[in-house]
Amino acid sequence: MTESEDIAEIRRAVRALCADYPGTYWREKDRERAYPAEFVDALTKAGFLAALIPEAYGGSGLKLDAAAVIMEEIQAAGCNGASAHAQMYIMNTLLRYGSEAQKTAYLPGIADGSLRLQAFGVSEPASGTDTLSLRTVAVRDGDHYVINGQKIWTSRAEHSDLMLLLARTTPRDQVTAKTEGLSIFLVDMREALGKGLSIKPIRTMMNHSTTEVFFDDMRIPVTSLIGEEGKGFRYILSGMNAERILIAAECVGDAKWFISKATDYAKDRSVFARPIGQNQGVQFPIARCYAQMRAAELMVHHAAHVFDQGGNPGAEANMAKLLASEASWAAADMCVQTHGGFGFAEEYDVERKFREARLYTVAPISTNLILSYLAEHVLGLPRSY
Amino acid sequence: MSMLYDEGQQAIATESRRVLDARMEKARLLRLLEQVGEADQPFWDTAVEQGWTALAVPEAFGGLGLGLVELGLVAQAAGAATSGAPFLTSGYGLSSALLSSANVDLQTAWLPRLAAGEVTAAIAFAEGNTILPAAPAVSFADGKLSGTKHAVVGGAKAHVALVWSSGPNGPVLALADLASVRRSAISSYDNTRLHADLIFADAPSSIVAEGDAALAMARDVLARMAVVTAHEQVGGAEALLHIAREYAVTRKAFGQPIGAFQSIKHRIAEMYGLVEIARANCIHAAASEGQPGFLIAAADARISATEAYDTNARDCMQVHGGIGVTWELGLHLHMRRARSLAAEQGNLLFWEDLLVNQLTGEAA
Repeated sequence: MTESEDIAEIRRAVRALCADYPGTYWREKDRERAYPAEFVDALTKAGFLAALIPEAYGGSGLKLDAAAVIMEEIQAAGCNGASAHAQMYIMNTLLRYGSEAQKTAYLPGIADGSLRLQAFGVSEPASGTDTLSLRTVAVRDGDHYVINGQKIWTSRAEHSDLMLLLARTTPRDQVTAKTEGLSIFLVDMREALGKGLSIKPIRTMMNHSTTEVFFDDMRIPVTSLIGEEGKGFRYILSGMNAERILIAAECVGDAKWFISKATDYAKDRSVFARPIGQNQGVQFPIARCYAQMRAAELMVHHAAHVFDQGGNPGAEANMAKLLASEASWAAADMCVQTHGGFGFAEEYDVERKFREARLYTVAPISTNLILSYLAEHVLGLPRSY
Repeated sequence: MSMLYDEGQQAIATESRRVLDARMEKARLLRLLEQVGEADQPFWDTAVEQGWTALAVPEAFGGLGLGLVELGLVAQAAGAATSGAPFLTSGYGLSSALLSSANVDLQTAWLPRLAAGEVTAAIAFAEGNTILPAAPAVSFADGKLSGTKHAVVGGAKAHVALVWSSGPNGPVLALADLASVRRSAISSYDNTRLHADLIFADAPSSIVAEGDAALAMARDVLARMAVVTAHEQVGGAEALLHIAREYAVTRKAFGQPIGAFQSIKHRIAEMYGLVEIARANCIHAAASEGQPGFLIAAADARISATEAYDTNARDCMQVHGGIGVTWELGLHLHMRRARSLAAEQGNLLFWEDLLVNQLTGEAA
């Protein structure tokens, strides 16, 4: 498969930008648990995070496949796109289901980076993957909705201006279809912070800026509602496919970084008077990871093409995420093993990337739920949960 | 806990291996693969002559009064030789059931004949994919069994069967004489396992246990047979390890023994690791016979031995390359046996579930 010149140009441009943010930059951020604001600003200014926003709203109007290449290159360069990837795809729900007034009000700002839409409030302490059982409620009160409840694993909430929020507007026992009754809101956190909205960071093993978010009688204007009340669950589904494909592309990028790092080291490092890469015990695991990564890469692009052609990429997006996250994790493990003791030393960046790569067999959807999806919806086996 | 084999046990291990090395012929086993419902009679004659059928039967009933440790060692030798008869395991299963039943009439009637090898047994518990169904379709009433047990191991030749059935007051473990029971032998990839459907039509049978006692006994029988089978699997896995090693040090490619390549030598080292883990679990399980942790130990042995035999069957063939899949070399005898043993008396899922339930104390 040869890529178009446009795609190759995107790869070169992302690589050039990332070169300004070497391992030392990321190590410092990691040590201080700091948000990589400079990197995110540079990405935004260069327009990469506006890839999926139509040109009419100030974006570059690229296809998902091109956006996937951007995320892949960021990871392959050793950077961490998790700090910004959501700016690229969360707006998808706004773009597809928002009113013209909402789109005009927000999309240009999101495109030029003056507005950050990087937080997506879905998961709750008592409902992880079982989204339909979420408990955060929004109750209409005149021109406002009053929100009460709690979200968890809301990444980048402290570094985002806006949050896309899923809340229940009709109690579960009063809906006709079980997927009804949830609504999606675009919350301006700048206004709500301290007025019913509070954010509490969660410390994790990697530098990921994730948080818990609490709503205590938070009032938001009715104009925050996206689309029709009660249809929110349906609205977020297509965004979830885009998210899975982009994150799968990041995993492919991670796998490429690990493979390249391990290959270089295996050629260079000499033990028993020859490069360690001459041992089958070392070179075969690298080669196996390469094959695994390439297979995942094909599925990622296949899923992106299905999405770009307007089809339903549910199965492909899920498979891409499953295969790519397993490929990146296998490559991470292999890379540590290849480096021996140095794999644990900060200055090699391997341990940092290893910690970062571990997330994606869990988030944004766990491997088990993907297997459940494939078993039930693709293979027609009985639902297991 | 740890244990070492004593002198007598070591002698059983060495002697059984020596006898089988001398008497088992690959050509005969290959011929038997193509015959449906035919047992490996020379192996069975050897088992009887050597007293293996009597090993775990008490002396009062004409046995040798030994236990699971000794039977396990013989099973290990039998597994290494891909011996073609399933009756050592099932005979032990039936005799354990009879011994724990306290039914002296049944004990007196059958145990001496099982010990002498005059009678062979089949254990017919499973229905479909369920190893121990809560409500078996085969029913027991007024001393008679009705219904069909499919693909019973040893069913094509066994004289008697221990049958898991539904009685008027819950489950019944019934002993049926198969002389007048219709059976239909099944052609399989491992024909000396003697799979057959047993079709009971008012077949006269005796109650060995009923109700809760039947369930407890059935589980115990399965666990005991699992330990014997695990030994057989370890024997097979170990034989494959040696075959692979032998080939890797003699076969040359690119001017050197293929065992010099790490992808070969590391693979063989991993085969060794699997065998030793499974062997340790088998020893522990056999030595735990009759003790509180026996069920868990049996599951450990069965799970690790299944993994060892399956993996080694695959990897030994891989080490051999093209020659590995030839009919004459016979590695496929092990590959077939690894698969059939993996499925008999509870597959991996059954034992994993059982282990989880034992460890958590509740249904997972």
